[in-house]
Amino acid sequence: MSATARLEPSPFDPSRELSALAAAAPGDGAIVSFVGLMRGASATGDPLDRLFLEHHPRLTAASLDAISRDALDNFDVTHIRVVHRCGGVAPGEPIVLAAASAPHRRAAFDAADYLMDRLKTDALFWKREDGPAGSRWIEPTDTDRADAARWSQTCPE
Amino acid sequence: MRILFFGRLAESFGRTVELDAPDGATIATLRTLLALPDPAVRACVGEAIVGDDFAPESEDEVEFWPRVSGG
Repeated sequence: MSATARLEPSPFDPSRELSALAAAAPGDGAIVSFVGLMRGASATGDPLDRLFLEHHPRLTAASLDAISRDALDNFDVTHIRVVHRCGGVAPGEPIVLAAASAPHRRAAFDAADYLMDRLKTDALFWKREDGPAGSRWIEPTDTDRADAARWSQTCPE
Repeated sequence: MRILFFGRLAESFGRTVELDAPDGATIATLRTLLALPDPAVRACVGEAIVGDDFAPESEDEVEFWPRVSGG
């Protein structure tokens, strides 16, 4: 069993990450992965040039590790792999990959879903959208918080 | 005392500020000196979020965090 989380300053290839996970999980029957992509427009439809993900020099990587370990502890999965960008991300580039392997599909689906809900609220980043209309710091939405709260009974603190 | 800022606060203050804080200054003292009353702005020393009563040592680095965005 393993939980691997990486803070990545450069563009990454999700297919290579998925291949690495598959290679580490030869006995598993299921792999579920999610890839989050940088959109070219804000929630209000304004065009964006980039997303800037500021991270903490020590604690952001620790937050990714903790979320990944929680997924491994709370679901019947064998391997977790998380890659999260930091710095400037251009439209179309992957921001995050969250993947889980498991003997059976349901746990892998649930773990990937859980990983993304936790990452959207608990990963230690400060996000800024930069576009022709200016820059704006953004925070988790009510929907993000509600999504993360879904797991409070399944995975009590 | 060295103060570090993140996110939108770093745009306002710069990444670091050297602050001549009085002896025994608490986080509340620093908030007053820096005009940071917003309770959503959290203070971190080392790897711990600290409350307004916490009195950092002069050699500590005190970080002020705006609300975290998530990933």
